[in-house]
Amino acid sequence: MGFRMLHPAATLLAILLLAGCVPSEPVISPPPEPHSTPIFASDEDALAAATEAYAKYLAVSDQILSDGGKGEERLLTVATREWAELQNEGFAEAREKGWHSTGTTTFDSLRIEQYDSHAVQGAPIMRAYVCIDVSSVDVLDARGVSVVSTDRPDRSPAEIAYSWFEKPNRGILIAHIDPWGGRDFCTDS
Amino acid sequence: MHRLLIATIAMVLLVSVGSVPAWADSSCTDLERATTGCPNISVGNDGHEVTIGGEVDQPGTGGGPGSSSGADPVPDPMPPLTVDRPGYTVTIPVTLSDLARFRPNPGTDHMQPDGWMIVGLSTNFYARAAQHVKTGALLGEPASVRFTPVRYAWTYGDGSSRTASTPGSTWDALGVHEFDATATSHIYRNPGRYLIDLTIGYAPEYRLASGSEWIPVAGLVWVPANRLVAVAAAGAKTVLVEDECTVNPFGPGC
Repeated sequence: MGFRMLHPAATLLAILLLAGCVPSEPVISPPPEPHSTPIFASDEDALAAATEAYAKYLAVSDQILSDGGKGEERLLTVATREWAELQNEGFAEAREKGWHSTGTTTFDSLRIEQYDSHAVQGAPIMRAYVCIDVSSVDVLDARGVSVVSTDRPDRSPAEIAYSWFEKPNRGILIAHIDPWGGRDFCTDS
Repeated sequence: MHRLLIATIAMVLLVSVGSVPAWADSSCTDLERATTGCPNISVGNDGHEVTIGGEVDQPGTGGGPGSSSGADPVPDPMPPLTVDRPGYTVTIPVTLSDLARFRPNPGTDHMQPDGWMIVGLSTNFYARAAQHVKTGALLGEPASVRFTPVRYAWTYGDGSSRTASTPGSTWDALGVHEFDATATSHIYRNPGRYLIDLTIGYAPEYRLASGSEWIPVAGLVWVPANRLVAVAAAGAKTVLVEDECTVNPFGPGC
């Protein structure tokens, strides 16, 4: 009868005590927090994701400009809405003036500045430094005459901010590309 | 904490959603980059101009070994901030003391195994801390301060300590076996009860409501995380395993 009154937890404790499984000292556990799986398993994964996302972005942006700024909504597949809307100012200008681009924008020296492997949906996840190279890009007006300024730098340092969108399967998007205002790390000097 | 973070981010987004995004001044379009080149960073606003002068050093030369997240050093020195107002001009270097009212959220310290360790084997410590934004007033203006965790300083309670650029991670996430050494693991040499403390260094950046760029502030803000109390048991010839090793060959002791 008395044994039937024993609480199951007490029974378990008794068993654990007999088995020597209960530590003799109190253990303070860290506060609970939401479980989340890291978005990147390693630095290499983060760099690969950052590189891929920016390469995709440049491919789409180049394509839109070579199409004379038409089909600008395609940028939404690789950039956040806010950034795509800002870029559309340039695309709209190209449409109005009848400009289009030729050539391909390239980049190198992409380096992760920081990342947050547990970023929440829509939040900044990564920032990276990059050298953007437009030396092979030309922008032509409707008559086929280049409108590129003679003092346009071919290479320029920039900082890319990425956002993370888990749903609906959008992944890592370009949130922001800022010209880097500090020392130029893209030209040898 | 996450809810708070989301709320803060939402506030920041609300602030930046206007007819013209707050950061539009310093960003450039891909068309501009291809035709004239992007302008140098300059932040402007109507009748209330904030110009950023000075030189920001080139981003650091890469994190040290084992750096994982937030690897690079904070650009340093921070650029002086010049605030032009009608009638007068003030140049104000923003320092950590100006940010005293902005306090980063503390992170959390975790360990594997949870609450105990085996003398002579690696105990894996890892931190959880996320970049987050706090809002408030700075230089009399509404401002946001963004804190990015970049340094993790552990004192292991046995006289040794480590400062890492990586928060570390679980054995599972690292894809290694339990009790394997990690960038943030520690081996206790003597049985006993240990108090483990973690302090996280956050790199602060600020942004005035009228500005658009995150501007780094020199130095780090250190915030203690929770204290762990754990018991180290002497190395045993027999280790209790969670599953039979045939079922879980990666289990501890298998």
